[in-house]
Amino acid sequence: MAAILSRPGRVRQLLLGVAVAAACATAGAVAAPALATNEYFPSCYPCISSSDNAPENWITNVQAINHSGGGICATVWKNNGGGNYQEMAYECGSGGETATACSYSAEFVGHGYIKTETSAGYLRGRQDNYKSCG
Amino acid sequence: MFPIDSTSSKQALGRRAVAAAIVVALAVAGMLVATALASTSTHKSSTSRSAKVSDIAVLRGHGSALRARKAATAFAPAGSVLAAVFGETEVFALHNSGNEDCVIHLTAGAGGGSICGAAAKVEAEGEVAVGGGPGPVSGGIGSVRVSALVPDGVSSLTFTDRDGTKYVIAVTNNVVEHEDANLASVSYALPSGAIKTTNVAAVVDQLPTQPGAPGSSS
Repeated sequence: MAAILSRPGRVRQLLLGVAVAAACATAGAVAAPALATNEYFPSCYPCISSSDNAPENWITNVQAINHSGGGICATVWKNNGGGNYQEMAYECGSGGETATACSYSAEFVGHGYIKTETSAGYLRGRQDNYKSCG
Repeated sequence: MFPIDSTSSKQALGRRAVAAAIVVALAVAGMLVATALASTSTHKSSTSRSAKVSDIAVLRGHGSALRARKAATAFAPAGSVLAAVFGETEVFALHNSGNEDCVIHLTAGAGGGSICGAAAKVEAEGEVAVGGGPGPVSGGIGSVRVSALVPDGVSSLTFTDRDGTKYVIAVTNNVVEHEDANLASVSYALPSGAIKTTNVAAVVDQLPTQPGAPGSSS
C-alpha cells in the first residue's frame, strides 16, 4: 500500500532524473569546444609529402616536425565559412626541424597546415587547442 | 611490595622525557643535514648539467635578469628562459628534453610561435624563425616577424628589405626579434667568420593564401 502511494513520487523522481540527464547532455553539446583537441596528422604517417592539411577541429596551435631534417612551416587556419580561411598564425623554421604556430586566442574551428620549405619529406603535424604555446 | 616513591617516579619520567627530546632533536638534526647534503648535490648536478647543456649563454643562465611584463609568459613552455623583451613581444630560449634548442616569441594579443632544432646545430649556426599573423579575414599572410637564437659571439643581425634598405639590430642575450612586412633577408656573421643568411621573402612568398582541403596532402 505504501509502495503504491509513493509511486507518483518515484515517477516525479524519474522524470527529474531524465530532465537532469537531458540538461547535462545539452550542456555537454554546447560546451563541446571545451573538449581537448590533440590531433596528429596526416593519417598516413609515415609517408612522404610536401604539405599536409589536418581535419577540421577546434584549435589554437599547430606544430610541424620535419623528420627528414629540413625547414618546416606550420600555419593555423581559421574557417570563416564560405570557403574562406584566415591565417591566424604561422611559423617557419630555417635551420630548425620543429615549428609551432600559436594563435594565442580563444579556440576556433579551423585546421592546421604544414609544409616543407624545400623538398618533400617525412612530415608530422599536430593541432591542439591548448593555451600554452610549444 | 616496594613502596611507591612518587619523587623518584617523577624523576624517572623526567629523564625519559629528556631522553625522548634528545632522540627527536637528533632525528631532526639528521634530517636537516641530509636535506642540506641532498640540496647541495642536486645543485651541483644541476650546475654541471647546465654547463653541458648549451654553448649559448642565455641557456646556461648567463643572461641579464629579466622579469616578464606581459601575460604572454603564461603561454611559454615550462623551463623556458625569458631572454629579451622587444616592445610587446617576449622572446624565450629553451633547451628541451629532446636535446633541442628553441626560440619562442609571444606577442600579447597577436599570436606567437617557436622553432626548435638539434642543439649541436643551433649552437654552431643559430636558428631563425619567420612567423607572424593574423592575416586578412578572406585569406593571405599577415605580419612578418623574425626571431633568432644565435651562438655566443654573434653581436648583431643585418636586416635587408625588399627595396634593398639595410639596417642592423643588436643581439640581446643571444636573441633578436623584429617585425618588418617588407623584409627580404636576415644575415649574421658567425664567430668562425661564416655568414649565415635566411631568405625571409622566399619563406613568406611560398606560403599559400588559402590552405588545402581538410585532411588532404600533396
